[in-house]
Amino acid sequence: MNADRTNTLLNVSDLEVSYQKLKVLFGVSVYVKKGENVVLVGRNGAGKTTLFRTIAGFIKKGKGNIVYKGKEIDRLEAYEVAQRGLKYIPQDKQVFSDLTVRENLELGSYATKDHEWDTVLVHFPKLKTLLDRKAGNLSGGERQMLLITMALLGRPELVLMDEPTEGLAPQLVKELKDAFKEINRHTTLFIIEQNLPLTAEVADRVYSMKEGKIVAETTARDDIKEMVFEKYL
Amino acid sequence: MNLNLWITSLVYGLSMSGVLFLVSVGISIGFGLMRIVNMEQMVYYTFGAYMAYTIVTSTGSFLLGIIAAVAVAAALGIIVETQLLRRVYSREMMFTMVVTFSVFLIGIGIIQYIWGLDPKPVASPMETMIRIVRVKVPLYRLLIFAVAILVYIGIQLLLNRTIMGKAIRAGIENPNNVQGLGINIYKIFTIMFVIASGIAGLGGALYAPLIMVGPYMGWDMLLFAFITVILGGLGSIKGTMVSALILGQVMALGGTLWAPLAYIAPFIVMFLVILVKPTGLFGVRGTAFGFES
Amino acid sequence: MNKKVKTVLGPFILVVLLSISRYLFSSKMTFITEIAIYSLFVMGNNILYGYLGMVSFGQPFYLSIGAWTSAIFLAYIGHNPILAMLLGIAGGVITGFVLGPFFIRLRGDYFALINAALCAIGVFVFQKLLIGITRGEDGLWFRTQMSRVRLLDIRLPNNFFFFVMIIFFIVLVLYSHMNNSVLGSSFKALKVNERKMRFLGFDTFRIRWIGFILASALSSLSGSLYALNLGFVNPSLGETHRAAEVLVATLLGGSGTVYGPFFGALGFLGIKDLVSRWVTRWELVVGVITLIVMFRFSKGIWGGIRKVSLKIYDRDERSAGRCGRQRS
Repeated sequence: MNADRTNTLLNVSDLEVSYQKLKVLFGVSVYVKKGENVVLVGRNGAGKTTLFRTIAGFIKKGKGNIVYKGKEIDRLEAYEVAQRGLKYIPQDKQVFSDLTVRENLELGSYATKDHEWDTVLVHFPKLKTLLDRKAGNLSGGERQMLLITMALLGRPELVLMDEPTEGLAPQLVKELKDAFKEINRHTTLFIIEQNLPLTAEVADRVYSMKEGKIVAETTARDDIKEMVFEKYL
Repeated sequence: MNLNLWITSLVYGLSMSGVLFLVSVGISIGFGLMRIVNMEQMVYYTFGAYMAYTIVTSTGSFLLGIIAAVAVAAALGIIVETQLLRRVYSREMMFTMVVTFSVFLIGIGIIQYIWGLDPKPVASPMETMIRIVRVKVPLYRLLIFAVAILVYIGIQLLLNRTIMGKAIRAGIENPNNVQGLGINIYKIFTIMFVIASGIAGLGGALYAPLIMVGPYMGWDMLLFAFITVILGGLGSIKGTMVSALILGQVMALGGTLWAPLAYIAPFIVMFLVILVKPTGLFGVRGTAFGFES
Repeated sequence: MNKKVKTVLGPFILVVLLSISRYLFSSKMTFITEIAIYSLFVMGNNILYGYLGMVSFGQPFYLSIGAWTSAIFLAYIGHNPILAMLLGIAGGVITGFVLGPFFIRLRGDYFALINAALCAIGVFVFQKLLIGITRGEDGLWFRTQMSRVRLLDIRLPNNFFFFVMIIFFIVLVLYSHMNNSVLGSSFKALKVNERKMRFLGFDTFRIRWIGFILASALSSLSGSLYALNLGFVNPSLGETHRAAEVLVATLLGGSGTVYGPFFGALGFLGIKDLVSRWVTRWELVVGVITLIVMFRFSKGIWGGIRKVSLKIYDRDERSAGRCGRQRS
């Protein structure tokens, strides 16, 4: 694992996390380099979401440390982590349903002082036509687009996405996949994904998680396919 | 019953609604935004009433009394929020409930220490009576209601017209996602908390001339405020206003029919409402720690 | 140690210690009686709070059900105090049985508050609506109506003390048995993860209902004994203020344990007794203590005692050269 570490954006080492007495992460170490698209696979309950939520500052770690852009971030509150340009998009696809799409984006701008919506809306032009719709009335795919767009405000350097394509129609998955590739040109991505063909196609590197530990890591394209199918299934 | 009684009862009910709204809006916000059952709101209410007593007795100015009440209540709110509540937001609801209840008890203890146990009267700021359809009613009671309406409009403007308000509405729906955007939700909590405690202090000061101010005045009001919030639905300011209007009239009418009913009628209403419709009249959707959705 | 022996031995030791202290501090006899009676009340609340994780702000209502049932029986119908007590328990069981299905399906905050409302309504009913029967604020006196019971004339304070000790012993044994049984485990499991319990095929509704009835029965038993002890009942027994006290006592002793409630009652009444000597009101002290307990000693007094004794136990074992600890 001690491969070329220049340009490391995020470095998590020996992370341990417990819920009360129940330990769920057992010394997890992962790193993400600038510009990469890293995918994390693993079964339900393997600790993937816990890992992401801990990195994003929603869960307090037990042991280990999390270094982002050369600074420890594991003691920061979630909003401070976000302010430093590390955004997390949770699994539940919850937009602020009581607010309109425009108001949702305004909140994103308020948080980041980034008011140039055009540069982020370019990935999902469809949203421009929905600005005055209540976010609660959007479809699942549209919500995911809105969440990604909001996360991209403020030009984050690293975006963590928790199962962004879960429950979406194949057409939408394809659309998102193209968007990921586009976004990946200027933003580093770290994605939890259950969709294996998609993983094999977009990932530069894949981590596989099992029972709170990283059990495999690979970079070669063929290996990704192989690993994804063998170790994960 | 004649017209005279009806109108008197109506006005009494409106003033009661005003007070109920002012003291329970903070609990509603606490429920909705911070996901805590903040029982210590009644400390600010009681302190507000006592500040009105102290200032009115020493200076004779009711307006000064109100300003002092709001200022002291808000200051207490800052202290409690930043020093204590901030540590318990992520704990389960039972925990915060008992913690805020302890703060309430401590508040009562401090009040007893400062002002003693005896109930204190507060001089009425105005004796003006106005006529509504030939019936004379005290203007002051109507003013309380007017103030409550103004506060309601103010809160609605804050929530719907300002970016801060939008962040609060978003926070009521999902506090974690607001943080995820990079918004310091704790700052928002503090601001809302201070507003809420100030309003509770205002409620106490306005109510003070109509009752005897005593250390235990928060007990009954605590339950009334919870009835208001529950009837209106968690986190809904509009619901809180509507249920305050209903409960004010229920209390006034009950009291007109048979005096003890004024006290118990709201409990009966609450009992029935929880049993029949546990989400209240205007329940808002929302997920968060502490609640099973 | 055999579990069955332990179930009986613990309560036995406690009751014997209490009986000894009754002779060591003979002036404190009524105080010890009260601690035992109050412990029963706290034990009821402990089932809700400690085992099931439900906060109720209306426990005094169930206390007053027991007290009023016994009092009304003794004042108007019969003379046998033991029968009065059994009727009091029955009143609590019926109350829990009837209200349970409506209450326990409510979410935590609503459960707490509907109990508070019930408590207020209860005081109103006993104070105002039934004033013809309950005599309102004056209270219902019935000491002279109580008859002598064979074997133990509990009208005498000394005999009443032993009567309470016997009841306390029986209840403690049952409580300890509950704690070690499937029921106790399912209560605790329910508190941690209700959904999982349901998936595992447990009827969570019924478990909670049983807990609710047990809590109600224990509270009303305590209420009955209060009534018998004082010889009269008045509506202030069911006041909402007391709901706070019993919660504090539960926390103070250590919630979710068998002996926690006793230490909670001892600690709370003891502190109140001491505090009332130099401060007239207890709110400030109780509030501060609760906060300290909540933040620093979440396991309460009994938790603290257990922790210390386990440490000593461990050290003994290690010095004896045995490895592998056994804790039960």
